[in-house]
Amino acid sequence: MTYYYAGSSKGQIKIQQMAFVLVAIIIFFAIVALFYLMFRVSNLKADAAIMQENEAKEMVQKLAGSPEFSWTGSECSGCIDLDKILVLRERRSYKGFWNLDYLMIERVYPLKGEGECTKANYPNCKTVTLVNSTSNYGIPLSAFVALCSIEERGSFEKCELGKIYAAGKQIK
Amino acid sequence: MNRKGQEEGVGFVLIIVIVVIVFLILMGIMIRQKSPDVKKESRDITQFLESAAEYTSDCAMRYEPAYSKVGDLMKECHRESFCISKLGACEVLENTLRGLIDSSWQVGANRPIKGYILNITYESNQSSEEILAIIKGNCGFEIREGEYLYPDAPGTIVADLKLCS
Repeated sequence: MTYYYAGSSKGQIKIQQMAFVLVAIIIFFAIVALFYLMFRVSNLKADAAIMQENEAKEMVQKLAGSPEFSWTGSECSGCIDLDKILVLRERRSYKGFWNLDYLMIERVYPLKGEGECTKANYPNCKTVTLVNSTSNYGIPLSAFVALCSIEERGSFEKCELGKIYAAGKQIK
Repeated sequence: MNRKGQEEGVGFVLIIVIVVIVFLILMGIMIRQKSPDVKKESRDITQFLESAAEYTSDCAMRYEPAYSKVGDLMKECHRESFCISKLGACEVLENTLRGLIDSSWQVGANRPIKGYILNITYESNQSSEEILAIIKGNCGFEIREGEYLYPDAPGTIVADLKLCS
């Protein structure tokens, strides 16, 4: 009788040992799976952020293709008519037209001057600000564009490199 | 009893070995999936190349002021043409592209962008030929890349810009 009791206790201990090992293995795999999932989710979040940013950049570049901006001199989808922009800024009827908090065009290359463009200093200037309705617009999104105009000497087309910056609820 | 203990020990070691192998396989999968992140496609760079192709250079091929666009200058460089000013199309193209890239991104050892590689190649069904390569600074582990295709029958001119951080 005593022998039977001792045997049963040993068996129970063995089953317990096995159960502990199984539980430990399951916990281990659960932790590994958790780490793996965390890694995958963080990667997905980063990819989603990049895609969202690219989409927003596309939207900013689409602005360049709108009839108010687009260059009609030659076939170019991403080209902005710089002369048109300068005239557009003076038009009061275009105030609030884009429904944006900030819209600015910067001349990147070649560098011809600094500061905001006016009739007096053009072409020796750098930026043309079309909308600046609030000081709290955050970080504007930007896209590269070609800025084209008719050069007065010889009346030929000349395109330079520029950037369009936009911020607002529409672009996020 | 001693033999049983040995068997248990072998079993335990076997379980550990299996767990380590599974862990290594998982790690391998994770590292493999991480590698594409090293080379990211950038919409910003593609937009830059698209706009840069429209930039009017200082090179006129036939008469002034019919200055060539950078996109057309790539074709002329491939044909080894010369501008009216006697400068080579490739020389003007290289100087213009260097100016465009350096004005658009601040590149340097102490800057987020450590260097860049611009490769312009002519690709057709039969061959792939390098037209121009511009390299500046050092290229680290992370690369952002953009590509722009410019038709030049019977092939295509491919401009590929890599920004390294």
